[in-house]
Amino acid sequence: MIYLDYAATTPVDPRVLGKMMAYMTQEGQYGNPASLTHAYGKAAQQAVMIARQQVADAIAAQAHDIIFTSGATEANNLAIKGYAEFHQRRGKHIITAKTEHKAVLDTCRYLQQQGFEITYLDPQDNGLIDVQQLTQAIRPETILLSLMLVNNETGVLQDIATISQVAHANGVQMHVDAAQAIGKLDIDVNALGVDLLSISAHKAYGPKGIGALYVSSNPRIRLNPQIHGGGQENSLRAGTLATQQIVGMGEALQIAQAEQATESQRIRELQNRFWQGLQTLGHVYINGDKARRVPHIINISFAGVDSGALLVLLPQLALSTGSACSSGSIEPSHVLQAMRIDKALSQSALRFSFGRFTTQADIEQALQQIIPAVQRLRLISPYYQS
Amino acid sequence: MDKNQQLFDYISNSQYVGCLDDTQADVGFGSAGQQGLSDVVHFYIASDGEKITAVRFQAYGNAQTLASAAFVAQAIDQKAISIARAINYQRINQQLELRAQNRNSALLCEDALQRALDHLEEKYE
Repeated sequence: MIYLDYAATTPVDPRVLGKMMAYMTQEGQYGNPASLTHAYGKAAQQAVMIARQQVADAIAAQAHDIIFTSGATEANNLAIKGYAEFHQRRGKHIITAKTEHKAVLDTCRYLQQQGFEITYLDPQDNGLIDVQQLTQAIRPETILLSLMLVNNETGVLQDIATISQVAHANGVQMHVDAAQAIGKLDIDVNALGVDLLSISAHKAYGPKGIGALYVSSNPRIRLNPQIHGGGQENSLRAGTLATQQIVGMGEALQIAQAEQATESQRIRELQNRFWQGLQTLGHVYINGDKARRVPHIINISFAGVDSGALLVLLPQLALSTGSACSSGSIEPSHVLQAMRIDKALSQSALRFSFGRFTTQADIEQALQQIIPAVQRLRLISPYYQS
Repeated sequence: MDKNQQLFDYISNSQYVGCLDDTQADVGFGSAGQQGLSDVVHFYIASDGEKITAVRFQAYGNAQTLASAAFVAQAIDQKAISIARAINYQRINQQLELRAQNRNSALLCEDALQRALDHLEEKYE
């Protein structure tokens, strides 16, 4: 089977696993990083310190601004709910976009039930947020803007630097979900101008179950914690730190940062070959901006076919019709709907995502399977005219 | 058999994909579903008045719909019209082991089949 679903998750890099193993078994450093009365705990604490710095380096932040969480979903919850609850006396309006991940949308819907007002911006047809429209949506009571840096379904790269300037000029704080961007792009929280940034390890060849929230200390961003008990992570996120997970995250991001430039170029070439190979089919369309996108993700509509039927004809390819978090649902992609993609094309869309272990041979084999499958479905269709 | 493998086999290997000239006196056409709103199935059935001599289908939608149509076409080819009439959605469900959320595919196929047989019957009257 060929794995083309790196946007859903990535395998743990063997180099990462090697580092993690040292903090798990009796032969290793398995102590609780908060147990500073003995060497086991101190060793674990030291490992966490190093990993925290590695994570901070990956986004050009300070180590003390990194709060470890169980993943990007928890980081999003902490950022949005935590900020909203702390600052609600200043205002109760939050702005996000209809194309955000469910981790953000559902969190915002929860806040709506708690009395907050949420504006869900419509993207342009290319998936990018119109800065003019955003500016008009900001009100005196707006306290937070939450947008993702890279869309998980389309790979569209949002112009966060410009958007955060608009937010700050209007006294609004900026939260960015960077789960799909980490390890794939240069991320500099200062250059981007973000106040809160969510990341996870498992999309950058680290383990599942660990993520982080960057919380700016300059200016200092205050949040209400969402998990209480124990005082860990500056009392923002209680719970024993999972040393091996944190070590894995740090190592994964350090490797990704070191290899990012060459990897991105390699993957861009793979994507270009893939897209070029599909041209023989005709009537295939990229969903999302053609220029402002990452090379790792490409969302393609195949006119005349149903994506669910296409997946059945591609049993040797691991693919997704959209977000993994919602691919079990039969609903059309909310991202493509928000982009006003034609309904039939939306139903024919598949997300292909490439990664560190994707090879040229994988691309060629995928094309050899996809092309005849699409042709077969188009032959069966009463509507497709070649 | 793995369900997806069964669907794959029906969709990939069916020899009944295509259409027949339904202006011919011995060809009936039946359709179910509506483009843009649901899956769609078309059946073209040729007959000598007693037996089905040729059948073709076209379909758009999920794999269950396509496989259901392929199964029906295979099940009625060269059979008596009475046998074709007896093919219903329960039979299709049973053959393909469709889950509850996919049983509409079988209903669509039954409807399209019956309409094609009705059309054929009208031509023979």
